[in-house]
Amino acid sequence: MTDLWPEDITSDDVLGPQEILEGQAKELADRTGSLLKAHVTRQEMEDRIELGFEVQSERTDNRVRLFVVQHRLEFEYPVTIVPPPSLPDYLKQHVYRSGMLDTVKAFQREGGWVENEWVASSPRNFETKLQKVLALYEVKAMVLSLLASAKAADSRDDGESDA
Amino acid sequence: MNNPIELLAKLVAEKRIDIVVLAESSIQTITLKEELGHSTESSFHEPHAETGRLQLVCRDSEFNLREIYGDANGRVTIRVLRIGSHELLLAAAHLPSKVNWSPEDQSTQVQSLSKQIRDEEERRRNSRTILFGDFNMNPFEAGVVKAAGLHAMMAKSITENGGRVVQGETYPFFYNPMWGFFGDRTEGPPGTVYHRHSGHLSYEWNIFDQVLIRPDALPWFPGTIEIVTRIGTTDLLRSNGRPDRAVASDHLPLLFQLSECE
Repeated sequence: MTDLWPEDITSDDVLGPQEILEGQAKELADRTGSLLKAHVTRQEMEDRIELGFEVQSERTDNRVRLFVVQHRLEFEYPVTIVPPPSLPDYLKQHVYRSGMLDTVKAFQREGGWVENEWVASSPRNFETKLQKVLALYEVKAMVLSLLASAKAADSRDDGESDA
Repeated sequence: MNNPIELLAKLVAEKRIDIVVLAESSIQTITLKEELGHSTESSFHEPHAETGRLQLVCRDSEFNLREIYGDANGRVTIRVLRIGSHELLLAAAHLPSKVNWSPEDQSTQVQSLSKQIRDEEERRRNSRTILFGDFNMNPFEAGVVKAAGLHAMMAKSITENGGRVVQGETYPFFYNPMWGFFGDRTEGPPGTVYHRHSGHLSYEWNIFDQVLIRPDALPWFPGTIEIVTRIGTTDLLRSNGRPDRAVASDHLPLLFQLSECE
């Protein structure tokens, strides 16, 4: 008989969103020499589980929630990522300025289906989206900012101990 | 005088305010520090924070106020506040507006905020927390009152035993003194925001701007809260008694005092 099941249904590396996030938390600690550590918080709400991906600078003791991931209480998939909002215009590399034609187009636009690019239906799909959110300008900027503070604190401490 | 920064600077000087927190402000922080410095003849600084949507400046560096937790969406910042030899947690929040969020959405979001605060309290083993900000919810709404939400009670006496157990889990209380500001039987306006909804149910006055105090932080809270309606000779209310957004904002400023605990 022909196997009709989709390719991503397999017993290999089937991980839940929390395990995948925890894996990336470990990767961050390894990559930054433990200057930054990430934690995954879990909260059960009435209708969903919310996982918070939080990065902590060990040197400055500052912790930032980068984004959250949500899924139903009973099922881990599909899962959605709620990315951070975009930075204010003055910090963006590219800023869209709307023109008169945009207003006209907005009036002419009909309703339609909108794709939620952050919903993932499988572990592999979630990993792809997670890679995308980690590469977001806003997320990268926040991680680099935390890393810079951690490094600065590290250098200060080194300076103090040398003196 | 209709310049918001000048008005704010005047308020800070008049009331001798030490810490200023602004949400949705269009004032650059550097300008804010300069103007407050001029008006008070002292220097204001901006404690280190990674998340910057809520602006916080303070007069005295002894307060510390370094950010220890922030949400990248910029809606929550938790700071360490040093008063004398004690450390308190000062949390500021600006929660999403009712314009795009349903009461259920708001309630879910506030559960997330509540968990963030409890986690930070646990991490620092410190539950002397003051939470304040624009919650975009009234003190009587489910998100503010329910156990897994902010669990904020209308009377101090209710909060005395610290928390309440629901289904085996303990949820700590906040005391919410803002209940006492509704209506006409207290001094000041009946709320902080006025909005007439066109549907059947309209509260007209709302108290979206609130300050909540954990029972452990009560010794630092003498109970002084003011919904500011006048700065110098400038009235923040129109002749009909509602906030005049042309003068300052559609929200009236909230002022509260913390003092040293013996």
